[in-house]
Amino acid sequence: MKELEGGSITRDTVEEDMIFLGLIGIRDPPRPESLGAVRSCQHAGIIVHMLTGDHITTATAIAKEVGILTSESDPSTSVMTAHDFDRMTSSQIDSLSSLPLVVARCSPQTKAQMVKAIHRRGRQAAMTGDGLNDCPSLKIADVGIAMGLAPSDVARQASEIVLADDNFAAIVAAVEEGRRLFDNLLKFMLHLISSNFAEAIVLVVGLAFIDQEGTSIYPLSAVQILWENLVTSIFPAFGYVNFARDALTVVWDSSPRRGISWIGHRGVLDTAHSIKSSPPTRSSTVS
Amino acid sequence: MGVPPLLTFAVVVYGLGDGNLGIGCNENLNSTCIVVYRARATVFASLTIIILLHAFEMKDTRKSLFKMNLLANRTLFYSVVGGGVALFPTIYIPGLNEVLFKMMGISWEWGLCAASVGFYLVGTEGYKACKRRFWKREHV
Repeated sequence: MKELEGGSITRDTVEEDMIFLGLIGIRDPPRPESLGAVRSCQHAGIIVHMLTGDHITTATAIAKEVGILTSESDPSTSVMTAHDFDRMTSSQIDSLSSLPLVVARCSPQTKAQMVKAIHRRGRQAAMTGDGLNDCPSLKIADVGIAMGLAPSDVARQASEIVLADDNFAAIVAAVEEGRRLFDNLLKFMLHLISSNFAEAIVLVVGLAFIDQEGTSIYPLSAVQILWENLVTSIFPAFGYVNFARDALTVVWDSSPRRGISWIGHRGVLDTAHSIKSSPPTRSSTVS
Repeated sequence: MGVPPLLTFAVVVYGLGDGNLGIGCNENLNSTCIVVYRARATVFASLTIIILLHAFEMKDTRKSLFKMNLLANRTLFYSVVGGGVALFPTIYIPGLNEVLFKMMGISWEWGLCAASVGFYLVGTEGYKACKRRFWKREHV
């Protein structure tokens, strides 16, 4: 104890005369749903990145298990340590053919850097995380999603969406619902706008039919127009609200909409359409 | 969508009628207005059918109407069928048609209706076919 107070104790002194008792491996396995969820994202044009505080070997193993890394992905470009990533300048990052799918040993800056790099490529980013170190990137991402069993308060505040469980599949369901809504809105607006436009053409061009007294004879009477609008158009519009499963094949086969759509900038519909995400950063649970 | 119904009006009035638009046919039916009233019914019927089919067409911006499962969305299906059925009382119930809707029952004009609906279908399906052929969906 005297030695300890004196501060002269070294690591070598402590690690002397030890007896080997055993080896314990600790593993935080990914959820079984994750693989399917990541696959659906990739099919829908959403690229899943994993930014983790873990060691590169652990990160690679987990990424392979949940399908972020596939047999096709080239390990030399798709896996990177934060050390290498941080050393690159913005223009060097932009000149990469694709952003690394897995970045190990991440710091908060690395995560923010990644979101910015995604933005510079003209894509939108959704970021998931639960810890304090995820906050900067949660904030600058288009959609910040706080998740994990107990996301820290500050992560909740920095996010747009807070998930009650730490299940990546929930995000997939949200994207699915967002795209379905967007698609239904689009169809029903297309229908209403184009049919009203058709009626307008009939009426406006129809003004050209002039009788002997010099008044226009309407090709459609007022009540007929009301009928077209209120009876013929509205009930099918109700039907569009009801599209459910049959619309989904279209939903998953299409790519995210790029940039700002005309329906609304940064609305939930818009961002849900072009969501790009990383699964829960394992760093935060470890550190 | 608006052009074919409009053409039916012109065809009924000028092509097959005498080109006489009558006197005061926006207000009430008199003996000079029979052609106009019949033409209106033709426009109305064809526009209604086109709008209803258009509701089906808008289910998918590429897929052909004839390859869709129209029953998958029952609300949409029944509102289209209902809209089509509701067309007939408005044209044929005496009084309702002439006083309220300012049109008359039609007979041979249904042929024109069918033609304009066909015109619409050819245009829309042609457009969709072009989209399928030349504007491939972007895949990441």
